[in-house]
Amino acid sequence: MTASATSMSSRRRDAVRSAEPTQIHRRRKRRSPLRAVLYLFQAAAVAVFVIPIYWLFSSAVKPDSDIYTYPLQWIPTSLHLENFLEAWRVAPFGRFFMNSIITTGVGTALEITLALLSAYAFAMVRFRWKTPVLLLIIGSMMLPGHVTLLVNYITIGNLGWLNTYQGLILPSIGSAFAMFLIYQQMRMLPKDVIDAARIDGAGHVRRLVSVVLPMSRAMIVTATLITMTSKWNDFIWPLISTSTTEMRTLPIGLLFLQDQEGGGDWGAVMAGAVTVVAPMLILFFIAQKRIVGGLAGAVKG
Amino acid sequence: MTQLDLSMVSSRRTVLGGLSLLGLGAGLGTALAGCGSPNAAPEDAGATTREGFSQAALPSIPEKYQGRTNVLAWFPWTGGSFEAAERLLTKFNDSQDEIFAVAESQGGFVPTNQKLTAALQAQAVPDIVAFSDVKWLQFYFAGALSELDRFFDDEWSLDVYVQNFVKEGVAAGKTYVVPFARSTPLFYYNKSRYTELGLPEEGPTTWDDLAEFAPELQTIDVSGKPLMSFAFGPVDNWFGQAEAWAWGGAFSEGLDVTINEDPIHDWLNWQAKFIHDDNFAYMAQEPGTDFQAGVTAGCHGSTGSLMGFESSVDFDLGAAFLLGKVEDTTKVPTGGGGLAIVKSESEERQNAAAELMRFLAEPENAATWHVETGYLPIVNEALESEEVLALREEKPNFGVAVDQLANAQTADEAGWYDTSTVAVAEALARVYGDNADVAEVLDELETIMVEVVEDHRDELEEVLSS
Amino acid sequence: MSTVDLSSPPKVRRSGQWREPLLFVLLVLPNVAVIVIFAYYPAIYNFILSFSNWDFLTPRPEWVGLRNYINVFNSQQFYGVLWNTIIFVGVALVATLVGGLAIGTLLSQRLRFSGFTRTMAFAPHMLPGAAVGILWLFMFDPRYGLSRWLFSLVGLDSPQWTTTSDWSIWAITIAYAWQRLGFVAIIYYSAIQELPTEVLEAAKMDGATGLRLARSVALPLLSPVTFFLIITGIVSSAQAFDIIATLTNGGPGTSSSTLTWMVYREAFIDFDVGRSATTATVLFLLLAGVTLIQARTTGKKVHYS
Repeated sequence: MTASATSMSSRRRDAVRSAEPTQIHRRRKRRSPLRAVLYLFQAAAVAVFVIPIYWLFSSAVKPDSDIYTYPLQWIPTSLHLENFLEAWRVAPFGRFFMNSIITTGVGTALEITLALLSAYAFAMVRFRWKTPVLLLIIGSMMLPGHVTLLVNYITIGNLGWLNTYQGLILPSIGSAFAMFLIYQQMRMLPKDVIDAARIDGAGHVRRLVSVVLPMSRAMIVTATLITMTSKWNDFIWPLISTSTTEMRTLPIGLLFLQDQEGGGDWGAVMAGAVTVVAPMLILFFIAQKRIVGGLAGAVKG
Repeated sequence: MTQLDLSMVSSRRTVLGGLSLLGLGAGLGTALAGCGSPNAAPEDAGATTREGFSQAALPSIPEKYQGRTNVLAWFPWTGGSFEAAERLLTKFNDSQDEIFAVAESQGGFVPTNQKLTAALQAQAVPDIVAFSDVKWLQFYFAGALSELDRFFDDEWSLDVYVQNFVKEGVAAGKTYVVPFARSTPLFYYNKSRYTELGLPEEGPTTWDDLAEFAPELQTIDVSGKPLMSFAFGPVDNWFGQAEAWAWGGAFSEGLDVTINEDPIHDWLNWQAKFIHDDNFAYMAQEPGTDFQAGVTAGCHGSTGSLMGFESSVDFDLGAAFLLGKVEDTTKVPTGGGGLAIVKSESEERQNAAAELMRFLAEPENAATWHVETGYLPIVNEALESEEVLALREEKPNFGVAVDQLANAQTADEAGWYDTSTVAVAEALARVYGDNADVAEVLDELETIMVEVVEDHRDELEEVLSS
Repeated sequence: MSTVDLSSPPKVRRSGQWREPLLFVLLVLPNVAVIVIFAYYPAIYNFILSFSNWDFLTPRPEWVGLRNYINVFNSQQFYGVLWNTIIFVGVALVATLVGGLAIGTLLSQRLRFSGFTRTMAFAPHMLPGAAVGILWLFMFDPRYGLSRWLFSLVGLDSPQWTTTSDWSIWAITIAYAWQRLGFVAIIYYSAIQELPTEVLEAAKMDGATGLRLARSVALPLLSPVTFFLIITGIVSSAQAFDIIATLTNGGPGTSSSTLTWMVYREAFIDFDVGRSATTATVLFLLLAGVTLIQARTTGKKVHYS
């Protein structure tokens, strides 16, 4: 890649840089017609993303009379929190919530651990047949999802782990995407620092723990958050592998809401969706600099 | 005994030592070894138990019910209906001290079938499963279901049930499913709108009535659009069965597919005109939702939706028999679900499961279930029970639902498999939504249905023999 | 990245030549083991079942050789679904790349509120697919959904998004593209932030301005990112499931069914395991093929080792 040679030095410097602009990039503010047009475009872009999300959240608190009406009722005439009560009655979101936290937390920790070990191996350890092993891991992303369902069910049943946390967590801790992200970051680490550590007599374990991990922190945070999101949102496997309410996770609650006889109750369904979505959105708002910054940095690698 | 190749693996819990790649490999091997061998017959029907089939995961059992025989039921219902079922099970648990029955919702009929398929492979099964109409057949042919006649006696047998529901649970003269949450389709209409316009309060009787009322209904403006007389939906196969009958046709007669015959063409052409030329009706994303919202003055729904509609609409709800066409009344297909016992290693659990079925068929409990959910009373005695009569008095729509039972019958054979019901739903959606050419749609549908019947001809003949 | 020689990092060798390989194997093994057991093993099993006729329930699969493949390639429905998949994947890909690049560029213009815009742009990517599908089903409703309002602004009636074959494929494409657009925009934005200023300045000195600067300097510099986005975009859209399940169920007819949807439907609705396995195999080969071609044509821009 042509950019790499020239940008290498700056990238090293910025290995842990966030997405925030540096002073160098900041330009003087100008006022011009072009600027106005840009603001217009920005407003349009914001509308595209915000309106649906606003619609989701506002519908969750609207009474039916605000939902099934035209012209549209943009602002709820009253706060109809019964939607949430209805949603939580149909699907016991409290219990589901706890299960989601457990499976997402433990699953993410395990997956990231595996990802770190693999990424370190690919980036720092000498091995002749790296490429095929890497292709094996990356290639797993291309396997159509549903083909694994039944056989994995049997494998987990074979282990006696149906309807357990192990059974929920284990099949998806193999790491391809997160591993790839972290690997891309690790291979970009300045070699001289690592070589220095090696010459100082640091073994692989010490190099990993005290040099490579701290320097890859941004990407690890990013990979962790992305892994968390996908585990939190996972739907099919928890649906298939659990059979009691005690073990179900949040997204299954959405199915329970939609499947009621007598047609959909949009208010309650939206309230359920908000319940599922809110924790991840909050997490994202808190951590967005990390996610966004790390992700983009990694991809460039 | 013959077992599924895949499940050979699962019986070997002993191989467990870690992630036993060996065990997994063995499974693959056995599957390959099956190469070329024809489908074996279902398991020996005489055996009442099935070695190696243990019970699927139970929830934690309350202190006071511990030490009993546990019966696990997988139900498709969620929300209010599921809660009503749970209350009945609690009543059962408190009525005796031998058996503890517990239900787990699997989130719908389709997921329930999928889960049971997987559970059979893993040989960890529930004791009772609720199936919709005849969707239990595939499990019957896999030898998964327990024959129920052996549990019957003077007090509890098929005779106690409403007879329109019984046939669907019988294969080759033996009983595998007993009625439970049975329903029929109803024509729901917005009675407030009808009375407002001076239209008959009891709603339309035939499709021609509806076509006559439609222009009047359209004089009402709903949020800037005319009020529609009817909303079709994306999965109308069940209602379509009744309409096929109403026009004097059928999906099939016996095993002869009759979906491409004149009455069916007439039916769909009539409805296509009704929707696309007259603009009296339309296809909604979810007809029930639009009906509650007041966008349409009519829609189809299950009797099982009655309770939900009664409590959620803010207008006067009307329920009528499904509309007739060549005759004033039409036959309607039965729907909803029945209960089956899954064969397992434990005869004791199967006995306990049968006890639960017996309990649910007691008139008082059947009546409670009807009153709380809107599903129809399943036993004859419940029809005359005080509870049912009182409800009928209070909410006449429930009476309509019960009375229509007289017109209920089992759906045509060609529509017994998921592939064909989905194909019918898709064909209808193309006519309702796309205004697709009816002849073309029916040609394609006929091909699919004939293929389904041919694929299952032997099975169907066996089921229909008695 | 090609400038970093990765295959042989430490030049000093340890005494035992086997130590590094052994360490490599130990580090990679847990991950590879999980992937092999829970992804490749089922996939291989599935591939074998593509030569069978089986409903999951009868005692054993009946082996039918290539019959499923012959049936698939002779079925009109397959080509319809393949076409749907191409439209869905292709349109979503192009729309998100073009839109994402535009928004990414916009975000890098240091406008006010761009931090807020950035946050909101990425938010849809955090939502579960099922929630996105449900939300759009609601918004697409031609009677009380946002769609009616939007079309009324230009004096039109809302299309019947999910109930007519002409529109259903666009319904799922729009919902999917909406969810991914912000993700692509943010990636481009961050990449633009890190464009080497020296190169851009040099080009400017040479007289390149505006569009030409963008086309002949910036875009090539962004091409590795674009490559990454194309590959992950194709793979993830080709496997999109939750949105289709909640929005259209693949219908009316099969008008919004993609290959992934058919894999599900054939296995879990029709219980035709052999056919489903065949479709899955075809899908996998297509994805692998597209990725390989893409990797070849993009040349040396992306390496995996």
